[in-house]
Amino acid sequence: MRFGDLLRLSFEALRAHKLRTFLTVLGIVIGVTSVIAIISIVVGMNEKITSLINSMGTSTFTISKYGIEDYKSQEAYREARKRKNFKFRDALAIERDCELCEEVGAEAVTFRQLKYGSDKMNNVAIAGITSNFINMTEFEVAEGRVHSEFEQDRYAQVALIGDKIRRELYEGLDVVGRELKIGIHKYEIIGLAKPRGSMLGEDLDEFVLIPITTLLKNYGSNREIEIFIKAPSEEALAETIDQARVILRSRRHLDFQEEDDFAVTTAEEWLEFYGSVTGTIQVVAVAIPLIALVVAGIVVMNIMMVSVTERTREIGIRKSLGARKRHIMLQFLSEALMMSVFGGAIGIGLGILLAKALAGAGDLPFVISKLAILGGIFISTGVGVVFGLYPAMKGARLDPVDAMRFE
Amino acid sequence: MLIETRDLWKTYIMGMQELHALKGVNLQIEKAEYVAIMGPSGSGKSTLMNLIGCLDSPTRGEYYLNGESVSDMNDNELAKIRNKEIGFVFQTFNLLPRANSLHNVELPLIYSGIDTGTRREMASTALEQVELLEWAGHKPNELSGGQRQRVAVARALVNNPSLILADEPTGNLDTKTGLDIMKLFRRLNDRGNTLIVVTHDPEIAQFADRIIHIRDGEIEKEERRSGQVQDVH
Repeated sequence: MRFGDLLRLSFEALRAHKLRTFLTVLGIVIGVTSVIAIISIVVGMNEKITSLINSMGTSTFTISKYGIEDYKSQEAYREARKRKNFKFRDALAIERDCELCEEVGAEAVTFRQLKYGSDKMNNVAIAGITSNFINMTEFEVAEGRVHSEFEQDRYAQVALIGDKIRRELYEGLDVVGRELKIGIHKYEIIGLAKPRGSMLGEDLDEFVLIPITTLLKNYGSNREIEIFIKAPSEEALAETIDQARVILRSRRHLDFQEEDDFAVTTAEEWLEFYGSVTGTIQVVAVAIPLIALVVAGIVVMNIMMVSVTERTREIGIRKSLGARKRHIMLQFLSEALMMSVFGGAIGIGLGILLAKALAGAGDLPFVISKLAILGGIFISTGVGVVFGLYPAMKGARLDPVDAMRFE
Repeated sequence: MLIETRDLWKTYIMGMQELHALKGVNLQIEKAEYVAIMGPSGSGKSTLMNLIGCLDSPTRGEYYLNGESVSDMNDNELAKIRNKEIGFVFQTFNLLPRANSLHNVELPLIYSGIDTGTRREMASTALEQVELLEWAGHKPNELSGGQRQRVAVARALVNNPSLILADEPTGNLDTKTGLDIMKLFRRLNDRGNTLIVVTHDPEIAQFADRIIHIRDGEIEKEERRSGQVQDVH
C-alpha cells in the first residue's frame, strides 16, 4: 500500500465525520495550546530572571548579613537580623585592603515618598549606591548620567530616576535638571535609566538612585548595606571571596573557630535559589495542562474505538480483498495521527498567541521557545500514537469472516 | 490442478462441545472449471468457501492452491493470496458505501501497491467487462442491486485472479437480475476464468459444469455436466 493512498484514505474517513473530527481535534488544540502557552511563559520567565541575575556579572558576588539560607525560613531570618549591620566603611576597608577585588561597591535601600510640585508617589525604593555601580552591572542610562565619585564624596543631592518615575511625575517633560523631593530632601535629577519593563507585576523601573553617602546622611546611617565585589575573573572568584572574607572577619572580630556572621553569595547561587523556589511551581504549571492533553488523548481513543466498531464490516471487506493487519492498523493509526498532529499544529500557533496575550496582560515575559514547539509536535504525535494504537490494533486483529458478518 | 484439498477438517468449539463443520473433505478443481458447491444451510458449504477463499484456516488437513500449500500459511501470506489469487463475490455485495464504483473496483489493487494511473486503467477495464463503465463515478446507493453485484464482479476480476469465488451471488437479487449475473459468470468462464459458486439454489447450480453436493460437512455426491451448455432465454 502506498503512503499517498494511506493519507487519502484517512483524510476521506475524517471528512466523512466532520463534526466528530472537529470536536476531537478541538480537544487536542486545547491541550497543546495550554501546554505551549505555559511552557513559553515559564521559559520566558526563567530567561528574564537569569539575565537579570547575570546582569550583575558572573564574576561579581555580594556580601550581606543575610544569606540565601536566611530567606528560607522565618527563624533563620530572625536570627540573621540580630547580626551586626555592615557599614559603608566596611566597603571602604575592603576597597583599601583587598588586592584581588577589582571593584568594590555598596548599596543601601530605603522606601520614601517622592514629590514633584503637587504630584506624589508613595513608598518608592530609593537606592543609595556607589558611583562605580554602573561599571559592575549592565545598568543602562537613557539620558544624563550617574553621580560621580566627586559628588559621592561630597554628599551631593543628585538623583537618577527610573522610567516609571518619569512617567508618573514628569510626563512630557525633560527630566534632567529638574527638582525631585525624596522625603523632605530636595535633589536635582541628573539622569534617567533605560526602561527595563516589568516582571510578575513588579515594575522594574520604579526606583531612584542617589549617592550612598547622601542616603546614609539624609535617612539614617545605621542601616544594613550590601557590598558588591567584582573579581578579576570567574577563575579568581574563590580566591577573591576569601580575601574579602578575611578582611571582614577581622573587622567583625571573629575568632578562629567562629563561623562567618555574614554571607557571600555569587550570581550562580542566586540562580540556584531562584530555581529551588520556582522549580515546583514550574513543574505543577506544566503538569496541569498535560492533564488536559491526556483527556484529549482519551477522546481520540474513544472516537477511534467508535470508528473501528462502526467500520467492522469495512475492515472485513478490506481484509477479504487482501488488506493485511498492518494495512488496517496503519489506516486507523494514521487517522488518529492526522487529527492529533493537525490539532497540535493549530495548538502550537494558538499557544504562542495565548502566551503573548497572557504575557501582555500579566506583566510576564515570554519567548517563542524551540522547546515549546518541539514539545508540542512531540506531545501531539505521541498522543496520536499512544491513544490511537489500541483501537487500531483492535481493528487490525478482527477476523475477516466475523467482521463481514457484523451488522 | 488449481485446487486440491486432502482430508480437510474444520472444528469449532462451542462451549464444551466440539462442532465439526467439515469432516474430511477431499476436493479437486482444475483450472478454467465452473463448479457449484451446493448444500442446505448448515451443511458446511460456507465454511468450505471460507477455507477455499483463504479467509480461514482448516483445523486439520491440507489445502493446495496452484500447488502451494495454503493450510500452513500465516495471516499475512493468506492476505497476499486473497489479494492476488482470489476474487470474491458476496451475497450482500460488500461494497464500500462511501466509495464510487471505480474506487470499489480499485480496492484490491491498492493493497497490491499498484500506482494510481495503472490502477485507474485496470479498474476501468474491469468495469467495462461488466458493462458498467459509465457508472464508474456512482456510489453503491445510486446503483440497482444487479449493478452493485456487477461492480462486485468487476472488483473480483480486476487483479486477474486464478479463481473467482461467489457466495450466493444471486441471493439478494430478483430472478431476472440473478439470471443476468449467471450469464455474466458463464461468459467469464468461457473466457477462461475459474469459477466456484456456492449456493443452496439448484437452479443457480445448474449453470455450472460440475455440481458438488455437500451435507453435514461431507461431500455427498458430484454431478458432471460436461459438454452441456445451458441456454438461458
